[in-house]
Amino acid sequence: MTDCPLCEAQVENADRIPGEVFPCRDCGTELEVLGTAPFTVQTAPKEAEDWGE
Amino acid sequence: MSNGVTLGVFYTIVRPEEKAILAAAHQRGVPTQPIDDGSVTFGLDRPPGLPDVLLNRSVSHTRSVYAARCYEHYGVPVVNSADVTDLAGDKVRTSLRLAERGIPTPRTVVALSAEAAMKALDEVGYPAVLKPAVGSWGRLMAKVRDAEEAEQVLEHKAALTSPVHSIIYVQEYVAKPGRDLRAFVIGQECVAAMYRHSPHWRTNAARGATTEATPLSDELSELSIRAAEAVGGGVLAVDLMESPSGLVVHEVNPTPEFKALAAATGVDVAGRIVEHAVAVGRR
Repeated sequence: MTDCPLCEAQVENADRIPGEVFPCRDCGTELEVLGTAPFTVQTAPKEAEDWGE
Repeated sequence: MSNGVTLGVFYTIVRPEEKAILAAAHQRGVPTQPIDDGSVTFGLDRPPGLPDVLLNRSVSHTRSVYAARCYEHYGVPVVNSADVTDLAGDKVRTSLRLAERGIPTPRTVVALSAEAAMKALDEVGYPAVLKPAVGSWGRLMAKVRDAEEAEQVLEHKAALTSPVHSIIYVQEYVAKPGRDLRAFVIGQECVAAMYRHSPHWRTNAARGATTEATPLSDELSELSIRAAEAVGGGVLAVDLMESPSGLVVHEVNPTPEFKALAAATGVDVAGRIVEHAVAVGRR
């Protein structure tokens, strides 16, 4: 468990891996997993102009 | 199946595709080395601890090209190669290559200024589509129905700061039947294809298009493989449209997403990618 950096809601690990991006269940902010032991997150990087497939 | 090959997975963010790749590698006993593209540095000499092959899944075109150049410099094969990513990530260069190889593609004219773009639009005719030379997911694309709309879009493009927007890529608008096609090519094989349905003219899955598996006809399969080979081959998603004169290829994507394709077709795309990358690593 950790807190959403934006809304401070509790966020569960749920078998996530470093680098994984997922939305906060409370505020919908996209979060990125920084580490799993301990579980830490930050807001996910914003889509840049050269991002794509 | 690893035979001692360690698979590097180079990523910006870990999406369902990258998770599927890591899981598929694990199922096959292939050791993986996830590498965050924002944390790595590259010196001029080969560092220790490199993977045997690198799967380039960076969503940043710029980062992916420079990183692939560096890994290749160290002697690590990259899927896709730096040359393939560089070329296929640039719509102008891709269109030129498709034309050189005689692959049917929508009529396209490139201009280097807004003034020339109006001439390009006259050559292509209205409606037409303006696309950024680099980028995808349908971002910053515009369909213009007449000169007045075109002038407005070009005025907005002029306000964008990236130099890439000074290159105006003008493409014929293809009146497709509410859908386009995505074919997924790995190595010499087209492994799956799907329709992308949308009432909107942009049929990107990222924009909410619904997807449906499509049978791999000989025409679709052969054209997709030719398009993939034209840009150098590897793991590539070929986007096609059904024009009144037949299938046309409009994009070849070098870092393709495949979650929707795997769900629609049941094909283990991640597993096929891992097997291809390991085979490249053994060469």
